[in-house]
Amino acid sequence: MIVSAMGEDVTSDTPDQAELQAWADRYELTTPVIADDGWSLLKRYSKAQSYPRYTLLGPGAEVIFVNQKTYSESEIEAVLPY
Amino acid sequence: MRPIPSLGLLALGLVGCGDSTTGDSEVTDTDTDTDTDTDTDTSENDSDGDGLTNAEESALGTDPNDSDTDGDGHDDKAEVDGNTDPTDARHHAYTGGWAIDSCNSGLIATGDEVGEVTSDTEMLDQNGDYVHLWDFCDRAILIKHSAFW
Repeated sequence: MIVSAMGEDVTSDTPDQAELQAWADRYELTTPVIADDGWSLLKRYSKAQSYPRYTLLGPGAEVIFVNQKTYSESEIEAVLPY
Repeated sequence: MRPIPSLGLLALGLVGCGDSTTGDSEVTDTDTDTDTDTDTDTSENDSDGDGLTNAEESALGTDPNDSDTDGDGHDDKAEVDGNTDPTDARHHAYTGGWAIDSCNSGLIATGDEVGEVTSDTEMLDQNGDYVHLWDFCDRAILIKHSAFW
């Protein structure tokens, strides 16, 4: 499951539903696109607020890695086939 | 003289059919409890017809006289079957169709560092629903933190 957590729209506000839907449509995303109000989700995992960043949770909501600029297939495969 | 219901009528009363012809309020009270107390309801009754017995609704904390306790448009039984909270209007099946894992109610957050169980969250999605991270607790979740520009 890939979750796109959008922290800001083009005016630096928290995205609303219409903007989230437009983003999903534009990139043909069928997985959740969520509004990260105030970057609260990003801040949960990192004090640094640069992006894009990736956080991986394993089964049981276990934190596998946080605030990475990128990720490798092996990191994903390590928590698959869940 | 007060009519004494036969054992057959009494038994019917206990399963909710009752004897409405006697005019005896004490008899009819046992099968038409509308005051939501579970004392006079039998455990097998389903007052609101949602597929959950009154006893099950009592255990869940839902209203035995309302098939959609939280008023979110999803019946209590459907919410139970779909692993969502029938008492939380913002927690129900996703419009996006994403499956909800049954482990979502059994997690205990320990922290947000590597190796810990992260806390749940509730965030608006593209369909107007509120996504709970724990709903996907039986699989890996890759979160991409990003912005629109």
